Amino acid sequence: MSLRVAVGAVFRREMQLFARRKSDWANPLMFFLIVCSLFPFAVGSESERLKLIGIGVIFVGALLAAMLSLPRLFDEDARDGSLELLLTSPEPLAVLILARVAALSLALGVALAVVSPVFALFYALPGDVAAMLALTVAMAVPTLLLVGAIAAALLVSARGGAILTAVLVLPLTIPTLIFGAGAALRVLYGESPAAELALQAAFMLLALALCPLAAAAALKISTD
Amino acid sequence: MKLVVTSLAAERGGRAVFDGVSFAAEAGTLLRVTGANGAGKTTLLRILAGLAAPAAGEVQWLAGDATLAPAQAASYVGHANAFNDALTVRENLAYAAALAGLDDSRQGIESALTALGVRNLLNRRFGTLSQGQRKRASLARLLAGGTGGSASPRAWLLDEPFVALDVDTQAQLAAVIGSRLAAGGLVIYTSHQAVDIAAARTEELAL
Amino acid sequence: MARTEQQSNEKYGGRWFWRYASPAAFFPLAGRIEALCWVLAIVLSAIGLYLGFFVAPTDAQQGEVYRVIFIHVPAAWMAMVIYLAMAFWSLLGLVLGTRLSFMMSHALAPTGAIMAVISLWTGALWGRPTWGTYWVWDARLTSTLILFFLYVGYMALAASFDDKKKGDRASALIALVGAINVPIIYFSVKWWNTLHQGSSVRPGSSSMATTMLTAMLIMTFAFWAYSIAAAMHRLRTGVIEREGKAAWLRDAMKGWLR
Repeated sequence: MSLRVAVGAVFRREMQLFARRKSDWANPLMFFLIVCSLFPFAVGSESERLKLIGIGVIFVGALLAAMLSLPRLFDEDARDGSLELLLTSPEPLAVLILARVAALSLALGVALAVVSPVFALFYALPGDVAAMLALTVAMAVPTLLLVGAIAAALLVSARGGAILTAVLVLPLTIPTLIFGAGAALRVLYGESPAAELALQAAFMLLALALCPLAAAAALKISTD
Repeated sequence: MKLVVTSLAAERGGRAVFDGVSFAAEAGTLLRVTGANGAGKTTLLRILAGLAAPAAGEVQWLAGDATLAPAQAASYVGHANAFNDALTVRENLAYAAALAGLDDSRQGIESALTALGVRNLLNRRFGTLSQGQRKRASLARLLAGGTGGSASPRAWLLDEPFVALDVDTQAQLAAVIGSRLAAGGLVIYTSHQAVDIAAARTEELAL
Repeated sequence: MARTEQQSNEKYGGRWFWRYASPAAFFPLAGRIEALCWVLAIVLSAIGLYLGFFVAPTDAQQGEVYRVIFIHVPAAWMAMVIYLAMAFWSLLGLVLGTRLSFMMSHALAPTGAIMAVISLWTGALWGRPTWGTYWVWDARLTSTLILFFLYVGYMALAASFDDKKKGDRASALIALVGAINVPIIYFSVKWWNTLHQGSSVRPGSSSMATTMLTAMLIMTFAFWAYSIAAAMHRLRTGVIEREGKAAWLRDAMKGWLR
C-alpha cells in the first residue's frame, strides 16, 4: 500500500517538474532537431544518399538527446538534499528509481518517438519506415535511460559527470541501437522486422529487470 | 524505541573521523551531540539514519524485541532543505511524506505546517521563500503523520536544526521537540548553540 | 553489502588462503610471481615469434603478411580474458570488501586496454595488404573496439573519484555491468555484421598447419605471462601508492634499495 503511494509520489513529482520547467523536455527535443539537421550539410542533399543514412542519424540523435537528460535523474536532488529522501525511504530504492526512470521515459521517450517520424521526412524515408522508427525509438529511449541510470547514480554531482556518463553508457546501448535501427532498415528493404523488434524488446525487458537494482546499489555507493 | 550503538567508527574521504563510540538512548530522551567542527557530528547522524555505512561497529534500532531498519525507525533532517525550488511547499511536503511512508493527505500536511507556524506558505513556490521560511517548511516533514502511525513514534535525527531560525521560531521548534519527547519520541540533534528544551531525560554525547 | 577487511579476516581467519587478502602478505608473493612471469614471457615470446615468423610455412593465399596473427589473435584473446578477470576481482571486492581485490582489478585494466589496442592495430596492419583497407567492421574487431571503450570507461570512472574507496566500488560496479553486457554486445554485433555484409571476411583460415597452431599456442601463453607480470607490477605499484607510510612496506622495500 505505502509502496504504491510512494511510487505514485515519485512519478507525480517528475511530471510536476516537467510541467514547471518546459526546458527539461524542450531542450532535448531542440538538440535532436539540430543534430538531425546537421548531417545533410555534411553529406549533401541528394535524397538517395540521405535515405541511406537517415535511420542511423535519427536513431543516434534520439539516443544522444536522451543521454543529455541523464544528469537530471539525480544531480538536482543531490544539490538540494532531496536525494536523501529517496535514500531514507523504507520503500525499496530500486522500485523508486524505476518509477523515476519510468516518468522520464514517458515524458522524453514519447516526445522523441513522436518527433522522429517528422525527421524521417528530412531524410526522404517512406511512411512505414518512419512509423517503425517511432516504435523503436520509443523502446530504445527507456533502455538507454535504464542503463544510464546506473552511470548517473555513480556520477552524482561529479565534475564533468555528463561527458563521463556518455562515455560509460553509449557503448552499452549499442545492442539496442543495432536492433532498433535494424528493424527500421528491414522495413526499408521490404522485409519483416519481427526478429529485430523481438530482440530489442528483450533487451528492454532485461534492462527493466536488472538496471534498477544496479542503480540502487550505485546510488548507495556514491552517496555513502 | 531504543537506540543501541556499539563501538562505532567512521571514515570520511579516506580518513578516520571517530572511533569507539558507544551509547544507548531510550524513548523520551533528548540527546545532544557536541564536538568541534570536523569531529564527525554530521557523519554520526548520517550513519544512524542509514545514509552511510560505518567503518566498524554496530547501530541497532529496537522496538520491543524487534530490530528496525533505520528507514523505519528514524526521520533524518540534515543541513539541506530537501525541497525542490520549482515545486510548492505542499507538493514538496506531500512527496517527502509519501516517501517516508507517512500521512501525505491534505489535512496531515496542513497540520504539520501549522505546528511550525507556516500554514500560510502552503501553495507558495519553495524557491520564493526566505531562509527562515524554507527551514521551517522543510522541518514540517517531521510532523507529517503525527506520531507516525504505529505504536512507537519515529526517532528524530536533526543536524543543526536551529540554524537560520529567529528566536521566536527557535522557541517554536523547541516546543515541538518537547511535545514529541513527551509523546515518547527520541530526539538526537547537533547544535552549536545551547537551546532550552523541556525533556524527561537530557543527555550529551561529546565526539 | 561491503564488509570491512577486518571483518572478512575475522570471519575466514585460519584458512591460509585468506592471509593473502592483506596487501602486506601479498606484496612479496606478487613480486615473485612477477619475476617468474617476466622470464616466462620473454622465453615464450622468443620461441613463439621464432616459430611464427621463421619456421611456419608461407600461407597459400595471404603470403607472409598473415604472420601478424601470431600477435593479433593472442592479443584479442587476452583483451577478452583480462576483462573477465577484472570483473571477477571486482565482484570479489564488492562482496568481500577486500581492498586488494579492487587494486587487482585496477592493475589489470590498463593491460587489457593495451591488448585491445594491439589487437586493433595489428588487425589494421593485416587488413591493408589483405583486403585493401585498414579497417573492416567485422564482428570480432568491432567487439574488440567496444571492449576498448569499456576499458577506458572503467579507468576514467576510477580516476574521477577523489575518495579512492568510493572510486573502487563505483568502478567495480561498472566493470560488472560491462561484463554482463559483453556477451549481449558480441551477439548483437555478430547479428549486425551478417545483416549488413553478405560475405564473411573472417580473419583466420579454416585449416592451419601444425607449426602455425603451435606458434599460436606458445604466443598465447607468452601473452598470458606478460599480462600477469604487468598486472603484478602495477599491483605492487598501487600498493606502494596506497600504503605509502606503512612500516611493513618500508621493511619490504629495503631489499630493493641496496
